[in-house]
Amino acid sequence: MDAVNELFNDLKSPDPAIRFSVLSRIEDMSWTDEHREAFREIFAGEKDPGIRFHMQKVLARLDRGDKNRGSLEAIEEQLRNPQRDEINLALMLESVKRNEAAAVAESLRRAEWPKFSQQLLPSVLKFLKKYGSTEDTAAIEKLCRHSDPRVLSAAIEALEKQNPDRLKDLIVPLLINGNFGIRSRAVRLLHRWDPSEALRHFESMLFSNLENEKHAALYQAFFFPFKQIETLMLRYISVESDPEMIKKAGLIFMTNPERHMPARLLEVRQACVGIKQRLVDAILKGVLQSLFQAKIVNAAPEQMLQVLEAHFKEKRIRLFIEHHSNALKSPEANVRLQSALKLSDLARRGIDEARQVVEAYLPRERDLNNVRKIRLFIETGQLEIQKASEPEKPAKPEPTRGPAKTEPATETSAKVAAVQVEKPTEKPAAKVEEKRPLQEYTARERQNFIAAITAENYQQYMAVIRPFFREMDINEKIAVLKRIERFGNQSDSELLIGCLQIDDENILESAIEALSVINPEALHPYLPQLIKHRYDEVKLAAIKVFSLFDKKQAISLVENMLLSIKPAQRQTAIFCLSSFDFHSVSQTLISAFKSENDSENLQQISSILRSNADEDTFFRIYVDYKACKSSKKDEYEKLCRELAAKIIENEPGRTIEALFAAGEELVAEEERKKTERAAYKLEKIQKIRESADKNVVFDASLARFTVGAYAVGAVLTALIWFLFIAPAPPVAPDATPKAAKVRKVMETISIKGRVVISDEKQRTVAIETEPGKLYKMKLPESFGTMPKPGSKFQAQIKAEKDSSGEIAAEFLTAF
Amino acid sequence: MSNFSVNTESNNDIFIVRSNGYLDEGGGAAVFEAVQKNLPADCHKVILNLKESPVINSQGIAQLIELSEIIVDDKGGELAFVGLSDLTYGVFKMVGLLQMGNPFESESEAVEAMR
Repeated sequence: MDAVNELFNDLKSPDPAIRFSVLSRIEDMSWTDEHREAFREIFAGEKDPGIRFHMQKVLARLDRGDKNRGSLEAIEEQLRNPQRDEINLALMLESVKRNEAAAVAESLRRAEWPKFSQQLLPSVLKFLKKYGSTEDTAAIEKLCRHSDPRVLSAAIEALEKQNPDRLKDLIVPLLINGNFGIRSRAVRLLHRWDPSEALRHFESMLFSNLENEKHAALYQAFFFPFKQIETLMLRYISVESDPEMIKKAGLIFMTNPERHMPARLLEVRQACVGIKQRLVDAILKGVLQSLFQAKIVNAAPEQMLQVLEAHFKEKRIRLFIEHHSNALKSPEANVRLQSALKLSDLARRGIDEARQVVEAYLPRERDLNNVRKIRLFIETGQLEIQKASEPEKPAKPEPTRGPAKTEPATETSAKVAAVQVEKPTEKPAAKVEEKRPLQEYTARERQNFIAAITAENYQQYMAVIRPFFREMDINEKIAVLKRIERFGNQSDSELLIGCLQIDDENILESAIEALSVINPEALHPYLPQLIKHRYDEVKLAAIKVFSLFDKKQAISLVENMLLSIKPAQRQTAIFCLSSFDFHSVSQTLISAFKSENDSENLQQISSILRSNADEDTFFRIYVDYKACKSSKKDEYEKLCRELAAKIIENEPGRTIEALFAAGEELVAEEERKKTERAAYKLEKIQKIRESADKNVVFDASLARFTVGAYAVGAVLTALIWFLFIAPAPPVAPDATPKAAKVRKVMETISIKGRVVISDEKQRTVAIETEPGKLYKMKLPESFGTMPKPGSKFQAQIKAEKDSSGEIAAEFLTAF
Repeated sequence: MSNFSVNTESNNDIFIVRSNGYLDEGGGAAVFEAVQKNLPADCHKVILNLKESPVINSQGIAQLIELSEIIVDDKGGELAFVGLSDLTYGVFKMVGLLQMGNPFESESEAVEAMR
């Protein structure tokens, strides 16, 4: 599609602001005869008078073809004529010669330009932006309160050029303007005078539930210094699910390559799946490319990515070890055992740090049963030999290959492997079946068999295991699940789903983890139950998967867990937070640090914050530190010092004292601005806008959650919300709904689908746009003959935003 | 700003600005200054050759917008962009810089279009 046609598509947008913005871009392009005709057709269908005027102007210019018609004389003639040709005048104002501009401006003043029609005013304001003087300021300022967004927008631009300080007094009406484009512009203006408050407004727009508002915020994002918005932008792409929005945001990251950004983007990438993961991967690679092209780094993008991935893995392992090291101090023997086993598993994969932790813990362990089990596992990789006395049978149909590469062979498995290697076969699994079924293996043999599964022999071994899986004991099942997680594919989903019915926390956790790797979508129907499971580890594993589909809600679930009165449950929640990409949960962690009193939990939060130390986190914690009046102040100071130390590690020129001084300055600045910003403070503006929105319908069912682009994710989110998070319904049956927390937002959209119901008497139709999504509406008489069921239907309608199922809509125009 | 450089050339009635390196806030300021200092008073046609600046950050873009407004709006001049990378083309389009000046593959094409 050529550039002009691309813009023509935008001219069919239901949003007048988008249609209008296209017009200014379209004029200077090269037009063919086909383009002209296509444009004329679009013009014929345009209903908005302001847009029609501008389109007429474009057509007039195309038809007449002469650009130099803006002579003083011709303009004055038009100005004198009360029946003036406004299109002509608008065109002439755009082509005034510089040496005549001052005289034209004077003529406009004499003709009392502020009284011109609202169609003509934007052209006059555009002219005055270039050639106006202080004489026009008062009139332009008045128009900065105009109800037509086109006039208003042109007036703001003119005033911004002529006397930007005058806009300061207009900031409140602009911030509460009903047009999102004007509001976003106001936020950018506010940034001139109060950057930190402007960024709060920007944040509120960026995380709005209104798509247009988010679009506007993303556009404005280009005009803010990136350093000031990078944390917000990271959080944004981390929780956003609309691919188009993510792509747009990606452009901002690629345009502003910063050394530290790829590591953060990598975290985001690792915390999502599907198309979003691919998009974030592309952004990450784009940033690496920009860093290289801008000569900020010398390493080639592929090389840097490898290093980053290795660092990421190390960081995850470090956090895992820290979490389970803490759990080794638990008063509950089983909790210590489970964590020690997890650390041992890591040790067996060659992570020395984990081995050291286990070795240091074992002499302290009071429960000898634990000691025995852990020693056995760390030495042999076997969890428990149920029939330890059963002798090993020497003649066994062994698989051809040894244990998985990442697991060092133990003495026992090495012996087995030796037998295996002696007689390699092409089809070991088949041989296994032929010679002896798995049931006849000793427990140890079975464990060896499972441990020997590798990527290469996976299918053959699993063919032997599957029929016997139900009869395996819990530890064997877990071992198999771990292998499926590492080497399996979607064909194992059924087996894993079967495991979700087993009431054992370890099996459930392993099954969830394995499914989250091989087929996360298959977990969807089970997540609501798993998320409310009585075992925290199961809950945590389920939330982690849920976060891949709806991060916002997953975070809010963890936030709920953080409110628990049990420190252990909060600890689980904190550990869960460490599995999210840091910037999506940094504020949750900072708030958790504020409210947490358990020293181990505080230590764990500090550890996550330290691992992700950056200036933004430092300053946010510094503000809390200064506001803290309790005994926790020392903890805060310690954390601030640790964060500062981490930051200066990467910026050797800086000092801890300098960072603390900058923190002091920030706190003082916030204090100074308090009075000044009272009028335009985000909360106040939100209140004004809320009370201005009198006509909106309130609906508590939309409270707090965002419906993502993935339909399946949206349904799941709703289910989880209604079942587990939504507040209880009012007790009194006759209670009238109070002012709801969130507005029900009506939006104008274009739909394309098939007629499924057509009632000629009532003139109602139901249009299915996608499976399960029906728009029901009444068609006016002017529509003509009612469409037949099965026929195609395309129209502009008004419907509740983000709805699903059966949606009541209002018909606007048919396409 | 590391290793950023800018040079200018007057080619009859056309003023050419060539940047080299990462065009960040400092780079943008350097381009701005180069134009302010060296643009002949009677010259209203400016070519910004950004071929050797494949990455231009937000603050660099802000400087270019300001510069474009001066050239196009205040001076009533003409502006052309040369050698935009895919990334900068996308961003220029998004922020409206392509409404201020047309993009060209090469300087010669831009010169030809301006004459």
